[in-house]
Amino acid sequence: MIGLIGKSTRNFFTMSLDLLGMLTITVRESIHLKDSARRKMFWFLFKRQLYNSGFKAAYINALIATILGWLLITMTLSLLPKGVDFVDYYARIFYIVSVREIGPLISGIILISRSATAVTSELGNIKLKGEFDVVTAHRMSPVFLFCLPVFYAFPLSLLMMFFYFNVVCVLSSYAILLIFTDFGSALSLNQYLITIVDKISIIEIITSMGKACLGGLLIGMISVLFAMQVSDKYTDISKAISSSATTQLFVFFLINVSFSFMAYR
Amino acid sequence: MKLHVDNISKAYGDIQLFRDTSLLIEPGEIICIKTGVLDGGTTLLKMLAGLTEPDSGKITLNNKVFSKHEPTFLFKNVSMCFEEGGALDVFSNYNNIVLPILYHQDIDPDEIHHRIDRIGTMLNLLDHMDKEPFQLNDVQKRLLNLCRALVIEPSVIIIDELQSGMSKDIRDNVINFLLSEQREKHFSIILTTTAGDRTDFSDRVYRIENYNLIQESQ
Repeated sequence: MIGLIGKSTRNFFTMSLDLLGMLTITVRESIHLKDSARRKMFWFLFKRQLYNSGFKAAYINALIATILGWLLITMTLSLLPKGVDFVDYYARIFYIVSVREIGPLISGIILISRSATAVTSELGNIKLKGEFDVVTAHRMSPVFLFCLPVFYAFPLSLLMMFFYFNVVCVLSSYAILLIFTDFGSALSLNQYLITIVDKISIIEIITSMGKACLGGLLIGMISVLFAMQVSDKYTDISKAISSSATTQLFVFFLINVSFSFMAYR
Repeated sequence: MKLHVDNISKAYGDIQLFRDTSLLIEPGEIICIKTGVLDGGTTLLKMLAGLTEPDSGKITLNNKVFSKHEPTFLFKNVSMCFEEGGALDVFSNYNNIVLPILYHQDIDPDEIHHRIDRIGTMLNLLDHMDKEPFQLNDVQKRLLNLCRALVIEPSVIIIDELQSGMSKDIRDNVINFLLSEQREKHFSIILTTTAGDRTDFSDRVYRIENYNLIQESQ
């Protein structure tokens, strides 16, 4: 038992140091963005990564947000105390449930399951096939080529996903309200949106941005870190994907709770 | 650009590959190295490209060891064509050629496109540029490596077993095109060959024997 605790502790600190090292190297590599040739190449890789991780995830994000919007309306209708304004009460539930917790959490889970696993798989394959030799042969930095786009695109993707999630959730709630209840006809979209936006404070925005930046960054770096642990067996790739996804889920959940705790206690 | 192999030795564990081997490649020379199975041909080329270090001795490019040159200088002057792979599967064949160039040079993309168009046509690769490396056969992958090297226009091209698996017609076309480019651009070529490959176009031919390079009479 003591041995197991010791091994887990050692693994945790080794991984943390590796992550820190990788972050340092990636930040240092950003200096090359001053060079116009490298910037062109980075832009190409960054757009490709952002499209894959941020834009292509929009439909699943929107689908889940629509379902949550429906759930929130149902929840509001069932919990609404007498004499309390419906939209005001809904706005409170919306920002507690969607903006603060579920939106970031679902977006993080989507980023991990769709994009982070893909990055681990792609880089793991490159490592397994010895394709890093090609990168070395062309005197390119693997960090610039593979870490830098993830480093910048993942936080931005997560931020975009938070945004879509909340917008779709609010709009789908309004659509459901309009179609299935009597509240909708008495409430304009403008009035509905103003009431909700009024409830969102600057703290909510900063907290969400913090979750997106740190969460996206760590999800991306953990993907790369585990991909680099692939050695010479094909099964190393599947092991890397599952270990990386497990670690990312834990780390992201921890970040989400820690930020919420600090901001809203 | 002069490439000088000065008394190098290389071993992997108990397996000795080279011992006190020397070779001088002058600008514009074409050298063929006949290789067998696991006799160190690829390792020698990787050492010549600066991708693997010799255990002792040194390899210099214009009188400076590789580590003393800037990466961009090395990229512009030495290109390695791999026998297997040599391309990143996560990018298209076209991007496998373009990205290394964009990384090192602030060059007009139209200029790169023009070069790829001309060389790709001559190597019958143009229809495959939008595909990915795994969709190419072994010969096409080697041609993709060659196409990239020719697009870069370096001073030294190092080619590992280019002719393997090629029909006589394809081999003759590729070698004739390579030689016409070499005459125009004056780059050096170091090429490993196997049994049945052409070596008649080279200035010197070597074989690997007793951990050394032995020059054959032409």
